[in-house]
Amino acid sequence: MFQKFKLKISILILFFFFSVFLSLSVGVSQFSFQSFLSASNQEIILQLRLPRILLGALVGIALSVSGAAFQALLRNPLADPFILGVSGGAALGSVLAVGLHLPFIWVSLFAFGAALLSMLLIYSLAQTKGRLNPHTLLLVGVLFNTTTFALILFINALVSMEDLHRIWFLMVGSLEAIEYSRLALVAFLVFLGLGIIFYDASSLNLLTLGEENASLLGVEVERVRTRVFFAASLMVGAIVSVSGLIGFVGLAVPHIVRLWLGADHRLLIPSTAVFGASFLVLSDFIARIAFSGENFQTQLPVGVLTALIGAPLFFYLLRHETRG
Amino acid sequence: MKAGWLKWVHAPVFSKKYRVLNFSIYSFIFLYSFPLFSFERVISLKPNITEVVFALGLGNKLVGVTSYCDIPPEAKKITHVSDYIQPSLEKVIALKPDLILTSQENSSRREIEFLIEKGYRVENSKWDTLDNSLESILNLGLLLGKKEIAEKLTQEIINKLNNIASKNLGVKKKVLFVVGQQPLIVAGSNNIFGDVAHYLGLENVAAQSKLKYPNYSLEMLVKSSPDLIIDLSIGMEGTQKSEKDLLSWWRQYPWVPAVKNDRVYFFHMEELRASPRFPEAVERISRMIR
Repeated sequence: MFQKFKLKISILILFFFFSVFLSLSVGVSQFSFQSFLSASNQEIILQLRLPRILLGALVGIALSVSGAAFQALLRNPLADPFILGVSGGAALGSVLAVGLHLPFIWVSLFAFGAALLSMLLIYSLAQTKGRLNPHTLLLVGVLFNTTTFALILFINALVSMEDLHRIWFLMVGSLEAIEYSRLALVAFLVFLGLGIIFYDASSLNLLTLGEENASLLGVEVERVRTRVFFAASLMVGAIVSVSGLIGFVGLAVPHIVRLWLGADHRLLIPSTAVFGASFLVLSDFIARIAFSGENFQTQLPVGVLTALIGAPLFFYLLRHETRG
Repeated sequence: MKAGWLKWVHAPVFSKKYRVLNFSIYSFIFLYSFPLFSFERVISLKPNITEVVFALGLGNKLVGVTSYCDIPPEAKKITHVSDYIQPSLEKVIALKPDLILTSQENSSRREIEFLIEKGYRVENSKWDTLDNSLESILNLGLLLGKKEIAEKLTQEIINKLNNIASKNLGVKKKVLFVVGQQPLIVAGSNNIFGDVAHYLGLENVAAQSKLKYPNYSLEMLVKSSPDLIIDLSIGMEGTQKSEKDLLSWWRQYPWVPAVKNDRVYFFHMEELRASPRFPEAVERISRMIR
């Protein structure tokens, strides 16, 4: 089926393993490959590095696949979880929890709940005469976002300085410090969403031809749309609740993969997942290492790196690749 | 508004720039040609400045303070013109101050510049390290005509601190000051924590960082392997987290010597003000970790 893409797919998979291996073996403590296997280091690698890498991979999968799904559903290259307001809703939930001084676990629950609630709200607002209009949906999403960020600023004005700091870190995103139990839960939700979207991949292909055509060809348009929509929101809600907001991935990664492998969603969805995961793992690796020397001893927010690496790559491909 | 010539008196340095309390030739002429001139309506925009003004015996001249000025207790009764970050310009101007005292650290530039532009006498001082704080105390003493008291005050602070240091000779342990737990923000260079470490005979593991407050990754925490951790985030999220919660978070990382040997200590950050009470706070930490 995808004979001609064999090489490119292999490269994607190799790139993923390369990113993970690099992030696992090189860190602040500068392990060489020989000491990689010594017992004391292994504990640090397993308890500190590995969860961070796994979370990075999950965040990458969730953001990029939901981006790809939204772009297909709305037939709009600008659609992504940020633009549609899902991320904004999740952020508002977590900021609210911080402002109310709730314990950390509630911050996650609030983010997750708010993501799903926002989705329901946006979804119902964008329904006209029982049908979902993609353009209305995009408009509602953008306006919803503006509203959530206004509300976040409103909460910011009322909380103390210390909370402001925490809120700021939620807004820029971070992959630090997650227990395996919560990681497992997030993984379950992300893969559930991924499974649903992959299951509907061929319907998404037909949907890109337009709704009329898709339903003529036997796609249950409304049902597929609702299903994919909720799968994507589930993924985004799950990851925003643990990592905060990480921008650019949902918009750039699907486009990069599409420029490289073409627009068949049966191939695009899994490839986007693999590339999104590698992309985020690598970005976080650089964010950890770049300023970790004696002179700074600090780490950058991962969202900064995703934009700095993603933007040039995206523009390069846009100039040089023809659609496959 | 003041008359033009009065501007000369009140704003001896004419730049719109954000000034540090510095004795330019104008200030010099101003200070010494009006030996009888004294400030009557002073506003302090920092809790530690309020403390110093009281210590200089001029608490009665203060007409406006921040809502965080709680020491000495009399300070609480003075009109609040500011919270921790932003002074309210309306309240400041309504009090008709003849001197406004601010500090470089997280002061709100725009409001300060506005006040300078409007011809108010604003004096900026630095309180980020112990050296700067001592110098600022001396400068305030000079400005407010209490030179001798200020000198005595700084000498006392230095003596007390040296006294503490003499008890902590040869400790030579590595310490990490934690300002925020999640995200993990630690004390780097050029802040008062470096001085705390110095007088406790400890070495701050993050002292090489050019940043005042670097964001540590968990791996850096493990790599820097501090013998002691002094967690100052306890007051920060006070309502949210008890000492027990904070400690259980640290317990997740038993590879850190401080955690392994049960040497994680908690201290309220607001007690570590760069004020005449600074030595007492250092003494308390010193007793806690001994």
